[in-house]
Amino acid sequence: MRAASAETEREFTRFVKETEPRLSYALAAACGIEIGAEATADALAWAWEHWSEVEEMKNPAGYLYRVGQSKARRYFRPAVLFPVVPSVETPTVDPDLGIALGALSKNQRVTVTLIHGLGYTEREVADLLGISRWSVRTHADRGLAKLKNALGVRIDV
Amino acid sequence: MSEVETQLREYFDAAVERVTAEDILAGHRVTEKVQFSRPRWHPRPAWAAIAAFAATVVVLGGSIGLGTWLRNPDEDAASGGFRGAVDTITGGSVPWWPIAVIVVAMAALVFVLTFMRRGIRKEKAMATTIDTPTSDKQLEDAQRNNHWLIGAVVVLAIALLALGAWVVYDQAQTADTAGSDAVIEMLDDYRAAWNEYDGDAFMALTAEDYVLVSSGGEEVARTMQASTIRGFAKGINFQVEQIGDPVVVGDGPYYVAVANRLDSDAYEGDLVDHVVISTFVVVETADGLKVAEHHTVGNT
Repeated sequence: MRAASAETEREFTRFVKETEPRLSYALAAACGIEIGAEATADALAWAWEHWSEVEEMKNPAGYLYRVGQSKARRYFRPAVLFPVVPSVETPTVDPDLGIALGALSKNQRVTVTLIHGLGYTEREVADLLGISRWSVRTHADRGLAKLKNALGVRIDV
Repeated sequence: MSEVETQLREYFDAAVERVTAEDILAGHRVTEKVQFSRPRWHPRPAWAAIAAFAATVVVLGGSIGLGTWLRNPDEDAASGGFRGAVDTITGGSVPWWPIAVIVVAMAALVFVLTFMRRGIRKEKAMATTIDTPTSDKQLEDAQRNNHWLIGAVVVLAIALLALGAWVVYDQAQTADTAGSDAVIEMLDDYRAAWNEYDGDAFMALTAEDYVLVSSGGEEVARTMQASTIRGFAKGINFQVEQIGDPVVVGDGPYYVAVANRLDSDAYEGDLVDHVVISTFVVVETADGLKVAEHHTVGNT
């Protein structure tokens, strides 16, 4: 796609604005903060190079999530997937949150982050992960329970 | 600390580096315009190993094939047949086999090298932080190359197996020379004629120009030897006992070597002292196989 029209670029920009947040958070939760960002950039770059295919897809976010996961395999897995963010930026975040997240399964991390942390619906997450809503709910509930348990928060279920 | 849900939102909002469409588009423009060429030949260790493997197959197969071709029996006929005789030992009568193996191995090598060159042809520049260490095109090329690589390895492995099968077949042919059984059977009759002092049988089993050459280099003609067998040999109870299996080479004339133990009333001491190596030249005549020459070396 060497001679993309301005209209195509605008369509792609709109697509990125819609899709990127969910993709970024999901890949960050799945692969870790550092690799997640690289995988998101790779997946969106792939989307631009294959835009004619992507714009015809029924579930492009779900497809790009899988593309991102494939791209993530190229990177070395860091020792710490979820590094501690300086407390100035996140004064209310428990320093052990990253460790607790790392102890969850990949689907538990993605679902609990997107649903309980960022307010996405079960349907949106199910489309992204390519699993059923019931599975999404199960993963999210178990992930949340584990997180609360790990962080010493009382479980209200 | 706040609720886990709140912590999650704050953590990911603060930690996740967001990507914009402008980043993607700008990165794509940069990688499109700026390209650096990599060295044309810069194979990775795995590629080098494959290339070395293929080269070994080609060189090995080529050497064997060339050697076999040079010993082609059809060409040897004009040179007196000696190399044809040697051919039967080495089984060089199937020269197309190694050539086919070489062709297959070389075809596989061409495939490997062709796609290796495609894979390393160009690499896009790493100009911005939003770019990736390698381009998607390269990744896709590499994945495609992997398929070809596996295919090439399989082809080379098959070629090598075929080469090995040919060598085994070749060795098997060595022991099973055509006509050797008939030669051995004829020589058994020849030995029996000696042991039974049967001059007529001896005459029937020898060629007209038969000659017996003793250890001392004395040559005895056919009729003289027949007479010796009938008279002198019988008088001293001369006997010949074969030791071990004879070795037969050639495909007409045949060259045979055999160890024999001799016994007679004229000998003194242990039989083990009278062991000779007899070599025969056996030719094919209109009346069948005949002994043309009989040489003996040893303590007679």
